[in-house]
Amino acid sequence: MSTFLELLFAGIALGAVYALVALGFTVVFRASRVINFAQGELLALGAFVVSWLVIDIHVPFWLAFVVGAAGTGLAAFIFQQGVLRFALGRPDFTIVMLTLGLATVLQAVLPTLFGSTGRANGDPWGGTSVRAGDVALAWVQVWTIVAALLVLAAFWVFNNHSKYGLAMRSAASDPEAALAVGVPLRRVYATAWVLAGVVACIGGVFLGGYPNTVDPNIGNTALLAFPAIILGGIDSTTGAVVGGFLIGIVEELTAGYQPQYASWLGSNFYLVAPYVLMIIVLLIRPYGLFGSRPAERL
Amino acid sequence: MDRTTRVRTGVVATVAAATVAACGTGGSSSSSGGSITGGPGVNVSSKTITLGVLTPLSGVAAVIGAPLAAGQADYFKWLDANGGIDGWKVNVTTEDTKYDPQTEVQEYNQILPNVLFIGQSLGSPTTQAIESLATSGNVLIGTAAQDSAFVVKSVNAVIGTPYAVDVANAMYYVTQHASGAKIGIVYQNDAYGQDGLKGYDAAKQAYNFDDVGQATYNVTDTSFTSQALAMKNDGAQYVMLTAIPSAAAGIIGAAAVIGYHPQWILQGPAWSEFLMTSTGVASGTKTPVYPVMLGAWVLGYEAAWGDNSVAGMSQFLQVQQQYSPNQVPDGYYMYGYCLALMEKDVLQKAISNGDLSRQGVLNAKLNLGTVDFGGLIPTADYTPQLGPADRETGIYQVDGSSAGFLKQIQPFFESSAAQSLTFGS
Repeated sequence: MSTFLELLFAGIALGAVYALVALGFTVVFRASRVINFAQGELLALGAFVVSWLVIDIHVPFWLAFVVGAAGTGLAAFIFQQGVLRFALGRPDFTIVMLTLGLATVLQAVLPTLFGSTGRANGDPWGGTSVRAGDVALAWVQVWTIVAALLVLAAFWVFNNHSKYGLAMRSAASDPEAALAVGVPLRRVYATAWVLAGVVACIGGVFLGGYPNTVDPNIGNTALLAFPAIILGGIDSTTGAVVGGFLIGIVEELTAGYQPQYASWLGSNFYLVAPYVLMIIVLLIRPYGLFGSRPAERL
Repeated sequence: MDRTTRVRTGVVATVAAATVAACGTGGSSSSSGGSITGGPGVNVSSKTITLGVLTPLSGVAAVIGAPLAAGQADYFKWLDANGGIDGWKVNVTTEDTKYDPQTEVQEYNQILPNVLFIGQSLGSPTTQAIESLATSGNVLIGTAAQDSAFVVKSVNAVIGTPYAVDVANAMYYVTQHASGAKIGIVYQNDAYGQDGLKGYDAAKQAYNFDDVGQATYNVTDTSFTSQALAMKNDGAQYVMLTAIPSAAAGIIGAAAVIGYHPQWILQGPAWSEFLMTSTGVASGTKTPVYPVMLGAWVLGYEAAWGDNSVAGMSQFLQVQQQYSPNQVPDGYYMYGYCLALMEKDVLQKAISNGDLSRQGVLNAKLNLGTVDFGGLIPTADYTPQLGPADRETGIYQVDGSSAGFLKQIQPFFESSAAQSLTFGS
């Protein structure tokens, strides 16, 4: 039983990171209808900045965390204002290519600035853990889950009870109608990018927590969150969160039990399992668990 | 354009093409009283040889590639500054492969026309990606990967001990150290991991030890709880890790969280001093995994950094201090240096044979005989019969007070399982 609980807990912690990554994708997608392929690199940028502030500059972790999140949000804002703003109205493909361009630039710049070797993320928990009955829980995993839930709750409040949240929802629903009633679309897009940058940083810091490290490849994890986005419904923030947690749990439980009980499926099946789940869900609900079915005029 | 102009243009183009072709093939010249046949990457008039280096300078394996490339480049710099090889200088062209086979192939094709051979190709999957191309072009590869499959291919010039041999030796050591111990292995799910498993299986047959569990991981994994739990639930007291540093730290760290502390045994590429501190030396900030890494065993075939009882150490340290004074004690830097030592001998033999064509270099490597690395690594033998350069392994222990965080606990040795390992189909 303790094995199951330990795997389940590890899956929830992994899922919390996936949820944060997926949330970043979804926020941008809802605002601009494009997938931000630089989300993983923003995650790496935030994690590196926090690590650098703590390890090299000796800034207290929580201050570094706030500065890092703000800085990553600012970087995303600058990209949106400095580049994407001028691509408004262009085909979606153009904007996607611009995000790919940002990803390429960050992939080249980050190792130059911070080195290619793995770095500690600078958090205060390190390898410490706590026992809950027979189950050992790493503090960094506990805090990953707590942070993810706090971010998600804050986003829910922002989305449902703030002027900008309402503006973002209306822009996501019908941009032209939103513009007609005075919703400042450019400001909405900029806000979405700032939020995506902030959650990317939070995800990156926790992903680089013990026993992992922050390295230039940490951004590749963003690709692992794709099944979560599709499974949950690409335009649904709730879907991104639920999908993230589901994918993390399925991946971890499959890695823990499949080699023992279904070894004939091969040693890589835990990487395939999230996609199998995604396909099953899409067969039943083609727009994902919480995705909205587009209205079509017949 | 009238007919005369066309003819003139054609003549000029033909002459230019012939000139380029002559430069491309290197032509031939006289050296040390003898004639030298050149080839691509060989400038016989300036007596310059250019080698290509394909190594990961970014990505998961950059922690290995960067120091390894530096060690190799530094030796050639020193060699050039001290007269070269019979007056021949060696230049190195380096490309970042990101440890990605597709990138490796692209860069191989890009640099090939301008290099005599590939002075370094780091990694099993990456080297496998260019192996057939190199074979068809008779291009020697300085292979910085210990996959057993490479030692039976004539184009691969490998130094050091194959992964499979290292693991077989380590399992012998465990059976001698703790008879009846329960042993497990976690290996990377690729050619590198399979080679470690090959040595593990060979040792299991030879010593009939209690193999309680095997688990795999992928380089993209970010959670290692399942592998740690598998070993814990199987009761493994000794766990072999055929992994890369980030995964080794992940597995050992995840195991520590669940209160599982076996004797970890790290394959050479699983180790990096950057697992211990932010700078790779004792003065750096300790990493979170520092305490759980202490006591782990690391397999290797290199002398301890700074061990002046080793004949070649003095010159090695002199080169390092001259060209990379900020280089921290690092086994991969030493490996790169030794790879360059072997390649210098290959080039020297090719020059003395008067044949610096690609085929000439291959022939020189096949008939090189014994290469002495001054004790930095065991001597290596290169013969037409191929096979591993050596079959010896040393065992080190992670220690906070030693240079490079490693102290040797077992000098080089060769087990019966390692001796009986066969290579090739």
